[in-house]
Amino acid sequence: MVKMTRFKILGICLFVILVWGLGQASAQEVMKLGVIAPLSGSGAGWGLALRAGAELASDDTNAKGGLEVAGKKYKIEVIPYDDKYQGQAGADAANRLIFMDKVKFIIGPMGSAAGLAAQEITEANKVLFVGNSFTTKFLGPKKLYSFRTTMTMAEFSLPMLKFLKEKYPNAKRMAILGPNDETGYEVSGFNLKAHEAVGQEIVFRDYFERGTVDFMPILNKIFALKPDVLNLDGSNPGDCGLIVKQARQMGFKGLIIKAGGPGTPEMLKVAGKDFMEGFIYYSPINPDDPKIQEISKKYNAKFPPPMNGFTPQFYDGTLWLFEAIKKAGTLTDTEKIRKTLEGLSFNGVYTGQMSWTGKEDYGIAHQVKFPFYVMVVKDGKEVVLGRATP
Amino acid sequence: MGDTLLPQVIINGVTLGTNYVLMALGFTMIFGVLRIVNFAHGEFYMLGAFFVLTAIVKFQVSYFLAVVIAVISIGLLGFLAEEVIFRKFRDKELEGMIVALGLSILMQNLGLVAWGPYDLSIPPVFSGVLKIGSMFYPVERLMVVLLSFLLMAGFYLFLKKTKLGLAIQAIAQDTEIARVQGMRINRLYPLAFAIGTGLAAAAGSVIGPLFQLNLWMGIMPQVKAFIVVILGGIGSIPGAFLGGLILGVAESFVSTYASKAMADMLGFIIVIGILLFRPSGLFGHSHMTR
Repeated sequence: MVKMTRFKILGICLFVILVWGLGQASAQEVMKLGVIAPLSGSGAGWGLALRAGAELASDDTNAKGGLEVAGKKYKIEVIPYDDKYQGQAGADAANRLIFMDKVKFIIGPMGSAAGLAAQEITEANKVLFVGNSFTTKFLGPKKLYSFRTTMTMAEFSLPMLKFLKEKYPNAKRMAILGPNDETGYEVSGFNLKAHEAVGQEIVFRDYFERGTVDFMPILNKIFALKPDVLNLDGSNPGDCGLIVKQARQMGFKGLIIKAGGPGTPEMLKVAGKDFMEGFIYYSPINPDDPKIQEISKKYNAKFPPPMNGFTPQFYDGTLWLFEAIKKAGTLTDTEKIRKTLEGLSFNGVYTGQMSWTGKEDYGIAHQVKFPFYVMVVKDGKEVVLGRATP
Repeated sequence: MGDTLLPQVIINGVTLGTNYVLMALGFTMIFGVLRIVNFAHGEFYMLGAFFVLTAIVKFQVSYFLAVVIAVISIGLLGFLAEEVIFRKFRDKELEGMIVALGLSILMQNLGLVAWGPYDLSIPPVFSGVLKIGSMFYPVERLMVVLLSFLLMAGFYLFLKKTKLGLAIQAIAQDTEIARVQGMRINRLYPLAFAIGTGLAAAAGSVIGPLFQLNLWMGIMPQVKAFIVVILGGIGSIPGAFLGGLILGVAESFVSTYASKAMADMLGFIIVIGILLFRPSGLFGHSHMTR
């Protein structure tokens, strides 16, 4: 009786192992894609946009059977971590992705502090890092595995301000207000140079702590200097919404522009359409484009609306990386994938023709460029004011 | 800048200050009565704003009704918190402080589950801007000041003119004598906690429509409340009132004429100065002022 029971247990174990083994054999192999982004706090709107771009691109690739690499199709599994827009959290996320989850490809992060901290780990481990960190330090001749698939002020500030100079020739006195961190300093520096290059006078340039809610004291100081234009620099959408609202409440009639990251739908929620009227900003996409409305629908079905303009950019950036992996024919040889990606231009689904630039500015051609839009808010709607090319 | 800037700076400071006062009043009362440094006070403030948002967006009620709902429900939550959690830590300052810190983290994370991590905003309640000479003053800020003064006056009258208010003051002065006089201490403690948290919720509800809402929005106001209470004198109601206004106006001046970073430092410099040279604060009492 005892022997029978033992045989039964052994039989059941063998059966379970067999079933598990068959399951494993038939299951599609997985390629892990890490995402590092601010998923909480004031930068969460941008972080979610990044995550959504990577996830929607992966979903669409999976819907076509997966990513084909050397004759085999891989299901893409996205593993997101929150960097809270902070350096330490960015490094922690990179460590977890590389050493625990064993990823070879990371999309993100948004912030410069998190990007630079995570980069120490990704570069040392030859992990491909396709991010957005606005700092110039994110790209360099020794940072072989880091790419930026969104444009920074270094690329779009000057063409955008040239465009505005022609459109508003009487706007001559500029005030620049940005966040007090690595991103803010970098962005402010580019905007300062671009304003000066088009012959505009900077009457004010200062920074605020991210998370500030009462901007009236600093706006008092700015408006006493009678600027024609307030440039909101690299401030995130939530902070920008509050600045626009409080500036208009204080009676500022000049132009408010943002030569920085996108986020107008979020700003409209904070400031309301009346205060946002006439707000001018850089946009990588035209929200009225039917293709953008298509991805917006996909986004709204999976994530809390509204979709931020970064999502289509990261969607295309992620597909660009997938294309390089496919062409390189390997999931493990990141050196080969890097070289393939460097030699590859890409016709983005939403962003249009994307190519690499940056040899002159950063010492390495790992920076994307593509034509972009200058938009204006009219009656709560985003309207194209014009198009500019870096 | 000069003349046109000065009135704007003062009025911004008063707006800021009245909100600090509302926060500090509840904070100092809880300390005065229960001897608990309520580090979860900022989270009751945060909940006030989120309750208003939920009441307006989900239940389509008016802003004023939403504020009443938020203050009452958070007051009840405060009552429960005292009954269930803080009851065992009355008069135990250190243990009470640590428990309050734990409660604040718990509340933030519960908020994360309920409202998610993204910034939210309460639909605009008051529109329009008053222009007085060269000075601009948004109506919504004026309403913050008016509502705050209304709440402060109500709180003052409650303490001075009602039996319950007098009883709360009595237990703040001497619990044992109050008990001997027949006061129901076990009912008055949670009631004091409820009023304190209700005031925090009122501060959050009133300021909510001006700014964005997030789960960490209570941290800075709580730090300010702490500074105000030390400045005015721990447990002192008039101290909290004057301390809040002084800090608000001082910060507005420093933010405008120097920088925001300097303004944030200012509060802590005041605290260090007060603790070094006048540890009992401006109003010099170690318990609630009569």
